[in-house]
Amino acid sequence: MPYHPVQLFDDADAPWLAKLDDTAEASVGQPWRVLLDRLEALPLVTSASRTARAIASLRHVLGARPRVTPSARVVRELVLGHPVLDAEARADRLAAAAARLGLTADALEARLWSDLARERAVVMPERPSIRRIAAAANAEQLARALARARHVRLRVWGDPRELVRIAAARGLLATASPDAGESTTLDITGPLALFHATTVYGRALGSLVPWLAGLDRFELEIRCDLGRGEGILRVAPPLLLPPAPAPQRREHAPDVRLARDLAAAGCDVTRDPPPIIAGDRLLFPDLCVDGWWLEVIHFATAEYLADRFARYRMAGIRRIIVCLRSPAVDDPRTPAADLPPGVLPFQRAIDAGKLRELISRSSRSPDG
Amino acid sequence: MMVAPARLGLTATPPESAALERHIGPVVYSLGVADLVGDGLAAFDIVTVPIELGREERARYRELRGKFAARYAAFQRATGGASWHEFARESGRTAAGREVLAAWRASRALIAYPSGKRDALRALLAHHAGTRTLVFTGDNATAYTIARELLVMPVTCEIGRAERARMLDRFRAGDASVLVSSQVLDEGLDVPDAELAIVVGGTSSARRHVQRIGRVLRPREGKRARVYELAVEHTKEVDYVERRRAGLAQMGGAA
Repeated sequence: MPYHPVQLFDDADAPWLAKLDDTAEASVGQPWRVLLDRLEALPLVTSASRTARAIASLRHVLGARPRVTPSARVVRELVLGHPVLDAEARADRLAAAAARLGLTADALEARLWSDLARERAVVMPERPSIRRIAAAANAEQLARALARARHVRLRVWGDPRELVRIAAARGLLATASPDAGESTTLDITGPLALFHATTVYGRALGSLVPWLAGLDRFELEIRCDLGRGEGILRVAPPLLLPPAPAPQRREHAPDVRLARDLAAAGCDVTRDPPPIIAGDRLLFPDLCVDGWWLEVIHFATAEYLADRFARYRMAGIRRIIVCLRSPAVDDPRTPAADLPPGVLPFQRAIDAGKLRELISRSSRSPDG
Repeated sequence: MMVAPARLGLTATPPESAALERHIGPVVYSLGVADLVGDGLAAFDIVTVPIELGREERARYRELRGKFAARYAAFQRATGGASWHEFARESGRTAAGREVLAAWRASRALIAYPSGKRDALRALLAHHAGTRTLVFTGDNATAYTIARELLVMPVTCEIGRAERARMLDRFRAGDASVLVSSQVLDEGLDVPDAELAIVVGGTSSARRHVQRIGRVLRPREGKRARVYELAVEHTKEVDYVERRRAGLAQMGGAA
């Protein structure tokens, strides 16, 4: 399969990205459509698609929809009406409405169209750095490629647990394999290899991109078709990405809450036990409860579940329970009756009582 | 697919192509716009308001059109009449091509709402003060510009359904006498009775023009609707007006 080069933005793009930045700065206070027209009219110094990506990135960095109170709709209701045909009448109408809302006339006018993407005014509290625009464009490009992937392979150095957990929490079908060196390879099924909520899954996969910035070393391979036939995009540092998000607060995560509930009930609970090697795979159970291993999965196909259990058995572990986040109880796609034994479905929180019941029942069975 | 043994088409705005005859069959009965005036439609007048560009605007327009026309003509000659879509795609690939496309867009933006149209619109609204009026523009940007300047309500696809409904209620109640829109008011919305339409910008499509005019033709005792078309002289807009008029005449309306 051919490798397609990925033209990400880097410091070499700084001169022409600075022109975009200059144009935006000169357009502060104008509607966004005016800025977009000006950007369109700039001389082309790179491909049209790269230019479009940079403009989209600038828009992303600057153009977030402001949350204003009162809303634009309320302001329009108050201000718009019969036509005002001279400047004085216009100023009077704005001043009267502004006084009623306790705003200045300028602030009122700024809110009038603030909910419309092309009409709201360009604001720039501080000039975004070129690297920030480039990083946002790169993140967007990688997220788009991931959203159209058939398969994703991510090789990471260091402890992969956090990434595995993030992938699992997003409902991604991922397997981890130890490499010969100090790296681990995550193989993630792409949305276009699934017949299940492709857009949602693709977005979930794309949401991994910000976390890449937190990795010192990685290699990312995306098998996808971006209009040039199927190929592989390969990406590795150094590359400009937005700063990695702060570590996720986990006190409300299902496994953490379950651990708390079980400990309160007197169970012997270990959180984040060491990974288990099962043949060529690494397994990352979330909890160990009274000698039972627990893994929390947010989405699975039947094949994925079967493989999971087989891998644990391969590692000599039979006491395994998979807690699987299920869609609505009445969702016909995954009736509880179709789930294999050893799977505890949950929706928002995992019921400690039901888990203990399942452990007790399974312990009495010949396999337990 | 089930093929119907017989098909009957009914339209207020026959398409401007042979598609109707190909898919349905020949026209078996038609009633022109003029035939409906009195019972089904209000009587109406269409007035074309010629707009002169200002001196600087004219010079700028010529410069922009010249830049575009030369390249477009060369492309047409070279390709033997390729489509606009192909021209735009080809032009987007080079810096020079992008410049030409930008010039074309700028020339359109310039005649969409030049100072002459701005003055004419204000004069018409002042002359018909208090009359329920629909202002039609060629694009959303112009609709918002007018809404921004005159503090009147824009009706566009970006305005949510609930807010649009509220606007139409206020228009109906006489609490707001002017609505401005590029396409949303053309069709598909039940617009309350209006007596005046001002076409600030549009296309050559007679079908779309009839939809717009139809918005002010709801009959009422003694009503005579009026439609103003603003057209910038010595530009494509004059040609558009003529083509719309011809199309309307074909549908049995006054030319």
